[in-house]
Amino acid sequence: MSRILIDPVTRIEGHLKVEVVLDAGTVKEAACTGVLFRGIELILRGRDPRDAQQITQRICGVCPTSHSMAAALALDDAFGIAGKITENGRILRNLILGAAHLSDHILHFYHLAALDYVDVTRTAAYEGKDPGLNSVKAFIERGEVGPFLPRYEGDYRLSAKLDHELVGHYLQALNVRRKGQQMLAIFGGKAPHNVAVVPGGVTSVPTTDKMASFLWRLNDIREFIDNIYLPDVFTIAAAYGDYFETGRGCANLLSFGAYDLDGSELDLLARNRLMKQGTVSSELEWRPADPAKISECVTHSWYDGPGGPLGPADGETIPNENKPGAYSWVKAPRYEGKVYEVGPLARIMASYVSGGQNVKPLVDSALSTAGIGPRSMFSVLGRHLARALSAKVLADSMGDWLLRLKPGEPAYVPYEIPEESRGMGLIEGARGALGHWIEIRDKRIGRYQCVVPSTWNMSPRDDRGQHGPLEQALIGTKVGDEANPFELVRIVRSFDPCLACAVHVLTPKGRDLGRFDAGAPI
Amino acid sequence: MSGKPGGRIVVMGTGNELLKDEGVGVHVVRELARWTFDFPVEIIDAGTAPDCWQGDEPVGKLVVIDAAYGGGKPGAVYRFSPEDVEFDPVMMTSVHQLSFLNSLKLSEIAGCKPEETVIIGVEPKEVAWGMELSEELRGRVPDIVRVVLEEIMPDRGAGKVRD
Repeated sequence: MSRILIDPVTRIEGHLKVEVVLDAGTVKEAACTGVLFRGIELILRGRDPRDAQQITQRICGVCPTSHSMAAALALDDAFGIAGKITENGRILRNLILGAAHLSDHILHFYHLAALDYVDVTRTAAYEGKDPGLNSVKAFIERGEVGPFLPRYEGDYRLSAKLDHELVGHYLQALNVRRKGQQMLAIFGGKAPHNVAVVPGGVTSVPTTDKMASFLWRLNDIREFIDNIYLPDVFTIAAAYGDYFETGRGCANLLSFGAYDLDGSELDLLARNRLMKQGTVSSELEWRPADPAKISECVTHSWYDGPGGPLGPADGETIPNENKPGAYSWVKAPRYEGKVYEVGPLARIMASYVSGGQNVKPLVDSALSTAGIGPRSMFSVLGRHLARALSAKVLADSMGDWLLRLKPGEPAYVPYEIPEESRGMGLIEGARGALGHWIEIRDKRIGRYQCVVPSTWNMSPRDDRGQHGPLEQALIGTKVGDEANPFELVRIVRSFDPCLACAVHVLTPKGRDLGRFDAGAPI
Repeated sequence: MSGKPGGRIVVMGTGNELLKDEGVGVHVVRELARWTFDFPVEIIDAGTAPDCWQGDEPVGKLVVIDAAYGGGKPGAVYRFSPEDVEFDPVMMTSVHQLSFLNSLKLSEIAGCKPEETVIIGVEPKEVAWGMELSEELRGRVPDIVRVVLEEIMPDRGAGKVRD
């Protein structure tokens, strides 16, 4: 028996630790540990409810926009205005969220996942004239390999030509991501941490200038997704086809649905949304999702609580770092007491299986191009393909939404904060199902709970001993080379993990930093 | 390959304001945002996403304010360059690990690295859940603002408080 620990410790403290036990090259046991206690619920208590959409955005460096949406929806609900958001408000929220998700999917694929499959060091032998590739070559020659290494060695299967091409796309994707961030800022007021998404709608008003400025960037991103991103996923799939059979996981999927196409329905999970809500089983059966079936369990988490699971609206956050049997700060969310995976895979499959008209033909065509059946989507490559397809469905719809904005008409409705109320905001973050639950007492926040996508996917075992989705995806995996466990890191990355955010404290090399005094402390 | 001389000046405060002193950079740029300048300067509250300093135009000078452990007393202020900081290569599993230093490296590869980058580091007292700075750091904010102003406008008095 041997142990492999993937523990990316750096100055970042909010990280994920995955420990697996190997027996004769096969993973026998896996444990996901989230190491940062999330004190957000405690910070919010007693504050003005309207602070929630600003403060919850700071949980995270990559999904602030999704938190602002979940908070705004929870507040709309609590304030009794969930069915009154104007068309401009609804569309602008979709465009702001969509801009963030497009740039996020592209960032994840190119700047995190692709280098598992693309041999960037081969750029050292590049002989062509592309300035970007030559710049990468110069970096490697100088031994500056920071963004690209360390990595595992061995299993890189693309031709040199394809490796060069994909490294070129990695560089192009930096510019594409920047355009996505600019789109977010056009209607969101700023990026990151937008200020425009508020209860009642959106504070910015659409103008034709802003719409034009948004549209050309959107068109550039659409072109990138169609001509580069999706084809690159298929290129990798062709060379690494066994990863359609690797990292299957729990094969139960849950989506809350995203991008409202109609704002009048009060039940968010009954709303007409571009990406459909619901659960999908390994047998490809779709059922509507019911938030009353969500509970969180803390049996193996460092929190005190009752023996059984609690619904998020009644959730408690009582840290106890000495609790016996606990191994994570992440709680274990469950649906009907069972383990469910969330993310683009769940969004795409819920839309596909329920017959969503924007998604069904697209997925069928992608399955045929990849030469696989729908059940192979429950896999490492299935998750990457679903993420790219999510980006395409979204980008293809955003142009139509944009043109339905009515310049000069209101995007915001006024409201009054009630003395006592409850609200629930359910939406899809880029990484999957995201829920905020608020309880208002005396016009202040009495209780606030966030159930974020990575707590579903990276959850520890529950009261029944069931492993979380990532743990299940790892268990049973055969590792070819224990010194280079590609299989494991590829599985982890396919889930696009996102835990409580990094602490960006810089650690200097053991040398004096030229400290200087900026005046006596006051 | 890097920004044109005389390119834009960008001041970016980064850090997580939910973790007390870790968010000092954000508190400082909020204070700076009250100033007006008679030359173009962009002030960014980057919060937990410190890779957002790039725009379409080249950056001449980038000033980053962040918490930094340098061995001094809480509130000690350091001025250093990215080359002074350990670029700690790690096996990345989350996009959260795409840090500021990472974005700087990528900008160099992409040919849009700022002409000059200065990091103003502030020694934290307390990195723990909470939205307020420790008393020590709160008292230092005006001094840190002055350090940043001196960094971006050698001609003192070129800026004034707006409100």
